[in-house]
Amino acid sequence: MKLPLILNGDDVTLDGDTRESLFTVLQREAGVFQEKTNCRKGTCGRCHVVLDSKEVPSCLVPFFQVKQREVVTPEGFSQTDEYRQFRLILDEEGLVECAECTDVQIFHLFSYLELFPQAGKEECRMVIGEIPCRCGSRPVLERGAARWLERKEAVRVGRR
Amino acid sequence: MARAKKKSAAEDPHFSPEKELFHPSLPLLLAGVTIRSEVPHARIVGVVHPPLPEGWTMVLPHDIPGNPMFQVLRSRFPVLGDEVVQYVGEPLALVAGPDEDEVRWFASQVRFVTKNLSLDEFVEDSPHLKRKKVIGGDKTQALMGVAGTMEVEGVYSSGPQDHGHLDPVEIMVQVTPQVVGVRLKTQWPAHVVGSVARALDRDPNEVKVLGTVSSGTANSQVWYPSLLAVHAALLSQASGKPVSMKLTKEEEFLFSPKRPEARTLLRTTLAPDGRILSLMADVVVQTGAYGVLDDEMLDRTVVGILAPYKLGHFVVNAHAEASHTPPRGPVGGLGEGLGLFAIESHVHDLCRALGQDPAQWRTEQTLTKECSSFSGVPLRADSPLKMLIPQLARSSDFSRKYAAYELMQERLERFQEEALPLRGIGLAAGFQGNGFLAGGTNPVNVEARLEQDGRLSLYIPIVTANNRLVQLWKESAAAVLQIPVTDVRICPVFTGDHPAGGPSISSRAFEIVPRLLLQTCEGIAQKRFRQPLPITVRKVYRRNKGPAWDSDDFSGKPFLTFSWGAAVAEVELIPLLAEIRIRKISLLIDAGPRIDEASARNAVTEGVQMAVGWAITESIQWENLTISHQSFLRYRLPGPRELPPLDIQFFEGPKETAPRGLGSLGANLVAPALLSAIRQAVGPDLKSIPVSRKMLDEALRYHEASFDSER
Repeated sequence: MKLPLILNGDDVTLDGDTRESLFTVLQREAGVFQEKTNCRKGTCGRCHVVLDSKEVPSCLVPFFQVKQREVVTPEGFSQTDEYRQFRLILDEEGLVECAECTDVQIFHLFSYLELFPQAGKEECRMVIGEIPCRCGSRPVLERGAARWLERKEAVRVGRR
Repeated sequence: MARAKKKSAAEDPHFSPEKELFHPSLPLLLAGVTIRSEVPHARIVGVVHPPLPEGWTMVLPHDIPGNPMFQVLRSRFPVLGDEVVQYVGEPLALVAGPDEDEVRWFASQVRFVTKNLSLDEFVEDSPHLKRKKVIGGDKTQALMGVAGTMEVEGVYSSGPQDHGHLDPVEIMVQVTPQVVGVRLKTQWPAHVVGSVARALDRDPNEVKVLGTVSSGTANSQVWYPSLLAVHAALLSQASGKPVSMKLTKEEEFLFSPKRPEARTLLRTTLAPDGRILSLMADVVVQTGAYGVLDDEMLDRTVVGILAPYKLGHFVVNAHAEASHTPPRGPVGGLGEGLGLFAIESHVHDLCRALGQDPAQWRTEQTLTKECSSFSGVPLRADSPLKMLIPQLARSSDFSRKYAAYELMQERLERFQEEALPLRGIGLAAGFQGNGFLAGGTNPVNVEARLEQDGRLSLYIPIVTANNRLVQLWKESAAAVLQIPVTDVRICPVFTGDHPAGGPSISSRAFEIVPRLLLQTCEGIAQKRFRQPLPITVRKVYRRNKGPAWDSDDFSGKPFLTFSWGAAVAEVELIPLLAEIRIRKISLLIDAGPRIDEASARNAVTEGVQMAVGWAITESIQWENLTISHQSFLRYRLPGPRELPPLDIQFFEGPKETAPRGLGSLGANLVAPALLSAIRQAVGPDLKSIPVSRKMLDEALRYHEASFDSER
């Protein structure tokens, strides 16, 4: 079954089976999530994508449901200016990158901020905590998110 | 036209595993699945399974071409359970086919005919029970002339803990006549090489392992990935095709090694001035089936109990208890955390019995330079705890708060009635032992090669995801050779390309590699302009001379180095909800100079999170010798609600040049500090972790009842 969709801003047609999940097809056909396995239960956050502005675990989305829809993956998001600027802040804060969660956490945070632009620091802290990981980068991500919000606020006040 | 003979992969120094073996569009990749035992202890009589579809492969124990035993240091157990099954989930057979779902269905249809065996077979002389008895000092002499002694006794227990990695394990193996290519996450690629070579009866030089990075190590990937690699390699060998094995999240949770449970009875005889005249300890460490790494874990647990304080006389009876449950392994440290948890929780009881401030008692009772260590090694200086404890107590305002919360505890009745939050503060001090006790690990070695184009290639057998650490390695090498950092390349950890080493534990990455790196680069600098390029220099780390550790009589120097630290945890408890809120955790750490401040903080934070989970949120229940499904569903790593602000300070010691490991310090210190804080808030009866809501509720009810009876 070949389905057209918009993947990270590009029109593509992917070939997959009706039984397959979006994660499996994206991994095999589009070469995304190459270095990642996932829990296949929708809990680990490793395979999250934004499907028409809503963040979903791609391992639980049947491939046939994405016809003509827009999909953004963490790989796609990591090419954006927003991501690069946020990474600079994190590097200044002393981020020790975690191979399992860093990009997923950033993607998850920005997907939330996209839906709820007025979110505050405490909300961001909770959102970061939703992706469970053993690594010690969470305090740095929280500080980075706080600085990002301050920067956004400064821009907003400046415009006014 | 005759074609040039292609070099075999084993001979080719430029063999690229990514291109040759693990290309994403690898053809004919089979999915491998493990068939596991459904009974805890039984004799296998036969196996029944549906007909194997064409192109599929099944491997049983008698199909293993090489050694059927898997080895981790001194421990050995079968690669596939053969005659007797020892635990639910033990791998018994392997199957591979083109479609993973179909293979999983097939695996579910395979039935092993078994004859159940007794579950309490482990007798006194069983090899499954490892025993140690450690005695030091003379009791009569220790007690002589001391009047008014006091005895304090307590039993302290800690539960299992999962490694909690986000990613389930995924392994890819391709066996060809020339080479065995393995790609997986592991802390110890050299162990994978040895294990796969032994099972397939191949030359270790033909096994090439590409180690990929994972999140913080937590020491959970020391030996388990090697076993899975052997399974995948057996399937690939039998099928002649590349095989990928993925564990499901549930499979991994139920059967991967957990932190061992420990139960310690401590009985101390105290002098009126607080000295420990005599300590009697009875330690049981649960190591699961086959007692994997039981020597290492048992020794470290005992060292954890005996190392921090002055002891007039001690007797420790310790045993590692095997059971018909999955093997335990190193998670969040290799064992000293279990011992420290017991002794530090016991010190809480000692101080209450003596009516002393825990910070003051600890400062007075830590070892001084006049003492010898428990293992008979004379000390050259006072224990670093002598400086760390008072400094942390001052900065965290421990003594004042401890006294205030003790008063609050006396007025618990009023707080209960008015539903006010209860508060407690706890202190713990201790260490992390750097290096393995038992030996048998691969030495750390670093190779640097200045290429013909002037660029530097570094071969470091440490698998790390720490981008900052890698950058620092590059910068320090570039600085010695005065070349741009961009000209320094850290080669991927790929056995065969560089000398083997491992396992990758944080003390090696932070403590040994930077030293070796400097030495190799200085070696190249000396030869540069005198020898033609490329120039290769390799340095191997050798343990310092000194009294070696003797596991049988507990003498000598147990670790390469010690890293010391102290932690203070402050908690608040809302009685109505029986909910713990951690207000703050402060740590003061002496682990030498930091080569990167952010990496050091990250490592300590990782350990603290692990401790908070171990002490509060991460609970595992056993049902019929297997982890209950509910535990899998409800297992929860600590989230933002549990994790408080952290105050991590580093002690700046004089004249120290080399950093020491600190990855397990947070886990070793914070768990006992948290339990002490909780006990101060709700009463002394809680002596085990994780502290569940039910346990808190019971502790509060017990106190209510005691107040009622006083009325």
